Amino acid sequence: MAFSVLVVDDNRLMRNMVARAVCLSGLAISAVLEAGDGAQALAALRSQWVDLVLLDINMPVMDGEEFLRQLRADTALSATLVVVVSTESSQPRIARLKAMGAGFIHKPFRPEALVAAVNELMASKAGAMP
Amino acid sequence: MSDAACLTTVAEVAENLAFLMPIGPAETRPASWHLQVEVQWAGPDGSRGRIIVALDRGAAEATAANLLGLGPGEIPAEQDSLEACNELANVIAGNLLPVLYGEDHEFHLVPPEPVPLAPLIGRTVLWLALVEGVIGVAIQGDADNTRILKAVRIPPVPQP
Repeated sequence: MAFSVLVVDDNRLMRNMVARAVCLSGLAISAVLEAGDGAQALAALRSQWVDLVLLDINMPVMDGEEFLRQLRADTALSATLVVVVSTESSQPRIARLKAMGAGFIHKPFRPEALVAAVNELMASKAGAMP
Repeated sequence: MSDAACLTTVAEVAENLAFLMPIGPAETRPASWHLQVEVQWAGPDGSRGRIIVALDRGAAEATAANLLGLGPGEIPAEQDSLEACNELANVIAGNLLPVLYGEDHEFHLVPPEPVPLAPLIGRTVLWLALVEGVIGVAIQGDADNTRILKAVRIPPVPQP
């Protein structure tokens, strides 16, 4: 499977860096798209196919947690794989994000952490299938 | 929490995010800062504060060059330096708050903003020397918030 990846971060350089990490991760990548906040990300998801979203939390306009809430409420998009890439260390908030089906990796991160998070998500999704 | 633990956190972020090369506590202060970025935060019980990250020219340019993947000798544009330092400040703040207060609290971070250059003041000011330059970090505001400190304080072990 080749992933179409959407990198969501308000910082252009960080999007660039996460995109490079994606390419270095060894995952098969068909496309890397970018969005600057949660609202832009939802618009992108409604106009093109995306397999995996790499999501920052602390963003203006619509933060990552609100984006995730709206994504899961949208029946057409709710199954999209999401890995949160954030400085977040609050255990209650991380638990909340994971309860919404998101993987989590802590910034700064190494490409191997991204692969592990994606594999874990895909395994749990496969396990949840009837 | 000790200043050493905070400095270690700043050094780890500088090294792992921006591929800078930390040396240790800075013995000398830079003649001037090149950029200063603040990250305001709000925490539990109405507590709030800000963390200011200051970089001299060497640290700022190296941060941007490394985040952009520039080659040796390439000088980043000023806007790139600013955006790189914004992200560095954001990640430093996000990593420092749980070191200061514990991981049981939720903090809302305001997106980083550049602030006018000024001497660093605060409850805690950290100075990190790098091969590339110097980073200063000032922790201001409710760092002494007793409600948070009470929440994370470990009770003494009862004596038999």
